[in-house]
Parts: sequence; C-alpha cells; structure tokens
Amino acid sequence: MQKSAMNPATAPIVPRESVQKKRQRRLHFFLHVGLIIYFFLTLLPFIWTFLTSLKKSRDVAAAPLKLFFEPTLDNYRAVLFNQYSDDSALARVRVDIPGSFLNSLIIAGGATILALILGNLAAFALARYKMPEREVYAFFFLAFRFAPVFVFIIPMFLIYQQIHLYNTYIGLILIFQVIAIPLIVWVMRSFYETIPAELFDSASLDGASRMQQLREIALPLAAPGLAATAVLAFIACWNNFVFPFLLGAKATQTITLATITFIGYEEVAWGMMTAAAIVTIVPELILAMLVQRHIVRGLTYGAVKE
Amino acid sequence: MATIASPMEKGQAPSAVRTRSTVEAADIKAGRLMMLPALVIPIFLAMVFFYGFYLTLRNRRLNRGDLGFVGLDNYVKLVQDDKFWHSLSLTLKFTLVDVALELVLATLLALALSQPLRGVRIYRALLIIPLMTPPVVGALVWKVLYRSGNGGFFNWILWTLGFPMQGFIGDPQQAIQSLIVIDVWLFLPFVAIILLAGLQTLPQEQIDAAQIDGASNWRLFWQIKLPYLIPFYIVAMFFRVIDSLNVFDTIYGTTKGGPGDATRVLAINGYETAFPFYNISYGGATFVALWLLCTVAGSLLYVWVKRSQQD
Repeated sequence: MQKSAMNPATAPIVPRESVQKKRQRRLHFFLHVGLIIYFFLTLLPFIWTFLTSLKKSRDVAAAPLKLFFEPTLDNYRAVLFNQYSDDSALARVRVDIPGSFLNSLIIAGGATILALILGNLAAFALARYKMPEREVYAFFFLAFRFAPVFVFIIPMFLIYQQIHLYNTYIGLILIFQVIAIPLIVWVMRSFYETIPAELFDSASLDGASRMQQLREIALPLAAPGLAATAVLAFIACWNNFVFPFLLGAKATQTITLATITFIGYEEVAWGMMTAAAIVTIVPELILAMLVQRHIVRGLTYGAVKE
Repeated sequence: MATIASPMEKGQAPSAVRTRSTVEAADIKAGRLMMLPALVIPIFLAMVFFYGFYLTLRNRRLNRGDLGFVGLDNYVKLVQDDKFWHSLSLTLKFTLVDVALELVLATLLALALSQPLRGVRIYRALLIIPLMTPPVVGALVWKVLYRSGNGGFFNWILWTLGFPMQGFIGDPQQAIQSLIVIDVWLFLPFVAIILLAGLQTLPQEQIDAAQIDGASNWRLFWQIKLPYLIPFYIVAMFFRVIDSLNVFDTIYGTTKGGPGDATRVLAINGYETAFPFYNISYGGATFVALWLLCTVAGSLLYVWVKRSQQD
C-alpha cells in the first residue's frame, strides 16, 4: 500500500477531493472483488445442489463429473408429486416429500401459533409491568436456549411413549415450545419496550383493560416485529432436526428428516436428495426475505436492534 | 437505527406520586398472571429435565428396561471413559476454532458491507441465505461437494488441476476441519449481520473526526470501530459458543461421528450411547455434562453481555 502517497499532508499538489475519490474508488473495486468471491463461494453449494438436482442418476454418478449434461426434471417429479421414473437407479427409494412438507407445515405452524399466543402475553407483561422478579422469568426462558435439546429429548422419549404423544403432531408441537417460546418472549419483549409508556397510560385512563391495551395498542404497533418474530420461530422449528427425528416416526416425518432418508447404507440418492433440499429451503428463503428488516433483532433475541 | 440495549439497565423510574403505588401493585399482579400461560410449558419442561437427571441415576436400557438405581455410577463411569474425554476435547476444539474463524471472517465481511458500495443491498440480502438453511440440509449439500473420487466437485477440481484427491469428511485427518468449514459457512453470516448492525450505528462524526486527523483505515478500525463493536462481538459469541458446543445436525448429516471417532463430539457421543446403543441413562449422563458446560459458558457470557451493555 502506498500510504504516504495517499496522505493529503505529503501530497499537497493534488487537490484533496480527487485523491480521496480515487482512493475510495480503488477501495470499492477491491471490496467488490472480495465480496463477489465470497458470495460465489457461499452460493456455490446451492448452485451445485441445484445442478445436481437436475441430473439423471447416471449423470450424478458419472466420474469424472459432468459439467454439461442433459437436464431433467425427474427428480422434482419424484420429490414434488411422488412420480418415480424408471430411469432412477434408486427407484426403490421412496420418500414421501409432499407428505413430509405438509407435516412440517402443521408442526412448525402449530408450534409457532401456540408459542405466539403464550409468548406474547409474557413478553407484554415483561415489557410493561415492573414485577420485581421479572429478570428471573426472562433468564428462566433464556436458560432453555442454552440447554442441549437432548436433555429434554431423552426423558421425553420415555414419557411420550407412556402418554401416547410419541409420533403425534401434538407431541411435537409441545416439544417445539422449547425453541419457540424463549425466542418469542425475548424478541417481542424488546419490541414492546420501544412503545412509549404514555400510550398505555392514557389508554388506561380511558378505561382500557390490560388485554385491550395489548390487543389494540401493543400488537398493532409491533405488528412488523411480530411478523418477523413469527417467521423466525417458524423457521427455527422447520429447520429443527432432532425433535422429529427422535420423538416422531413415519406419521410425523418432517421435511428435514425426509431429506436425510435419501442417504442409504449403500448408496445415496443424490439427485432426489438435492431436489428435496431445494424444496426445503426455497419457502424459507421467501419468508426470510419478507422480514429481512427485523432479522438481526430476532436472531439475537432482541439484544441487537435495528 | 440499531442500538444495543438490555431491558435490565433501564431501571424503574421511582414512582413520584404516592397514589400510583396501588396502580403499580395491581399491574404487578396482572403481570404475573399474564406470565403464567407461558410459564406452564417451561415449568413442565424443567420437571422433564429433572426426571432426565433422575434417569441418569438409574440403569435404564431401551432394550432391557429399568435395571435399578445405581446412584452416581454413570458419572463415575463417565469420568473414566476415554471416549467421553475424547469427545469433550473435540467439542472444545471445534467450538474454539469455529467461533474464532467466524469472528475474524465476519469482521472482514461486515467491514466490507458497511461501505457505501453500489449494490450493497443485494449483497446483504444474499448474506442471509445460508442462515435460513436447515443445518442438516446444509450438511447434506456439502456432502455432495465433498464426495470422494473425481465425481465429487472439490475432488474433481483437484484432479483437473493435477493435485492429489482428498478424503475430506472421509479422512480421519481432515474430517473435523471439513466439518468446521460447513459450520462456518452456515453461521458466518449470523455473526456478520450482528457486526454490520453495530457498524451502522457507529456515530459518523467519530469517523469523520479521525479522518480529518489523517487516521488510516487501519487505525480507524483498531481505535474506533473495534472498541465500538465489542458488545456486538459478545452477543454473537453468546449464541455461537453455545450452539457450537451443542453441534449435532451438521455432523449427523455428514459423518455421524466418523470416520472412527474423528468427529465424535459430545452430542454425537451422547446420542450414540443413548439411542443406537440403548443405554439411555449413560447417554443422559453425557448430556448432563454437556448441559453443565453450556450453562457455565452461557451464564458467564450472559453476565458479560449485560456488563458490556451497561458501559
């Protein structure tokens, strides 16, 4: 780096403005190059996954690999509509992706709705009312965030079989509260705290009940945050692997679980697996893009605000 | 605008008016009542947790039923178990390298993305893609890239360029590093968006003043940006340390702890013991140990987060 040449003090002849502009343009050029390399590397796995999902099974298995091949939608036909072609060397691999997709929707959706109902009340109370022990509550919820999920799964595995919640939607929706409630309580609390207290005070003077204050002031004002939090809770449940893996079976098989079943002991159905991976990720990305603005706050439990 | 603030530090405004105290008492009561529904499930889960601990004091087998109370035997066995110590040290190494790499790389990424570049919004939108990917699916995606032989993408590149092909996740010497790459790929954006949020709130006057004094970008970073970002680093570390200690999905989706024991971290070790090997009590003891580790690390980091936010 030619630091001295860029330093305005040692280069008084050149007008300062233009030196700075030049310097900035050069910096930006290198930054663009760096960022494009980074994003190429980051997106490469997805690009490669997508390409693999368009390959016929003999092209997937080809060694050395084929960069150019005749694309096919067979894998998507199998994964989206359960239509298996004869071409597939792994025609015996049958995974019900549409069914798993629906299971994931029911379980992650149900868990999010339940956690929203329960969590919002708590978040509002924590933000609004000065219970002396409120930090204890907050920490109690957070403690679930840093406990290994297996400390719940192992006992739950036995309990659920006893009380017949094993491999049921309800059982999984309940256990997903481990993830969803702490997230919603912490993030929504931070949103509710940004609402000026005077709004509630004056509503209170007008005779609005606490529930009315929550429904008519807090919820509408925090609506964008609420949507973002709900999306993040949904994604966290959708992405989870271990709960449905160990507390569910065929009847509740979620999409993440279904994707991994393409890995057999002898061979891997790469084409279908990659197609299933794409099907798993795309809906999430669409949801995430919609709530991009509040994602930092949601991901950090309200610790970092935008 | 992004700020870092904790609800705790705001403190209660001393109630100036006497008559307000009755209102406040009613508020507190109502607040507690509103907490209740959300507390029911966590309290139930806390009980489940204690039941899980109780299970580790018995000898419960998934295939043979309950073989009686054994006290702390499972824990005594644990501290004498080489596999446990191996997986503990592997977990700690994984966490250390993983988090350190993420912090360093995320700093570079956040610094670049905080510049007024053309198209920076597109970059920022792309940033969250790996973050939304289920870790287990992310692992599968990488499994495709890591495939052995010249049918695998990375090996094909090496082969084409005339380098020897590598085992990656199939090679005991490379497996854990290859997994760290996957984990960094998944979570680097998480750290980067936190730091980016921090950089965007850095008062511009501070930067301008330093630039007028002729500070180089280098000094600008070390003396202004980095100190300002410290609370943001701590928040990022809080989440990343805990999640790395608990890493399971990425490893289960790729190596399942292999080859040999090369990637057998604590969570994989405990899972293997509890489920495929039916020893649910001994597996549970492993997770109590992991829980202890996470709780100590988590509490320390939590206190650190709180303290850094008060400064």
